[in-house]
Amino acid sequence: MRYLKITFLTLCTLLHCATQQVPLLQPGYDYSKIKTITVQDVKDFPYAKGSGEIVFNALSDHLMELGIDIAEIQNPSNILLLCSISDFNDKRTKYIPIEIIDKGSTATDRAYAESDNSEKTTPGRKDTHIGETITRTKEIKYTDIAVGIKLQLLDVGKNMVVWSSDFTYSALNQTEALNKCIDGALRPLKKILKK
Amino acid sequence: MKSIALIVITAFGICFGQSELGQAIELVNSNRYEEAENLVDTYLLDHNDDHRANFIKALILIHKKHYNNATKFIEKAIASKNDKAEYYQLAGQLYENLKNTNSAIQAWEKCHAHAKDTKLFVEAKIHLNYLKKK
Repeated sequence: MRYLKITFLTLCTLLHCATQQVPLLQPGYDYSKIKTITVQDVKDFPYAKGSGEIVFNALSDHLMELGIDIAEIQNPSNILLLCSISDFNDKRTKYIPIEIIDKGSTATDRAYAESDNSEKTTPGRKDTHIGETITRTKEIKYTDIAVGIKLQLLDVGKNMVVWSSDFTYSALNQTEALNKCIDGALRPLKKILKK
Repeated sequence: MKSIALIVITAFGICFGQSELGQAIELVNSNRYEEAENLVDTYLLDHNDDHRANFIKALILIHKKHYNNATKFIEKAIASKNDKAEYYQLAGQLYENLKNTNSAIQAWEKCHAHAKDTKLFVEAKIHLNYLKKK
């Protein structure tokens, strides 16, 4: 019983945390001081070996384009950027319904077709309709790529999260999905740093 | 050998009342894009404006990374069926890939307007927000 109570409370806490928005900005924090950032190593997304390194490199490039220097982890800056990959799916498969019109002969199992009728059915008997058209919906596979990241900027000295962002983007190729995802995630930071 | 396989598949399909497009979909779903393309190409000879055939052809061309060419087919699909959100989604992604931002925005707007499932609705909104703030 006690174990169940603890599990329930843990689940409630986790759910609460998941739905809570982490503060995007820390009021009163001087963002103009941010000139150098240490980017912590990014862990691979499950079943996507090497994804961490790909995201880390792209993230560092984007930050440098914003005019921010990247400090080595051995000689870290006071500002630490944490990144976790929330999606790295290079084969995101969806199925799109398409109506297909079939022409020609079709067979109907009378026993199945008439099972709701009061008439006596003939089990196993099949009706064939030549030249009939039947519309059915089939699903076709469609594959694209999705990349999602979660970012948190920490002021190590003050021990607080000063900025966070979360963004996912889809595209037809991985480079585009990755670049747009990182660009979209960093856009709010870009605005703050410009002020 | 491939053409023999294609003939066998087509004959089998016809015998069991399955249309060429139905077979093409099954071939795409089992990653047999070449065979699917042959079937769709044949079908398009007589049904040039069929939106489903044009959409399947666009999907096949995207798989082959022939993005420019795929755009022509998705545009044809949209021309004959202008209320299917998934067609606009594909068009939006193609235009973005080809750096045609204005057309991409138009396509995502239509996708957003016609989306029937929440996921696609949200995805279209994300793309619109991103592209409009560029």
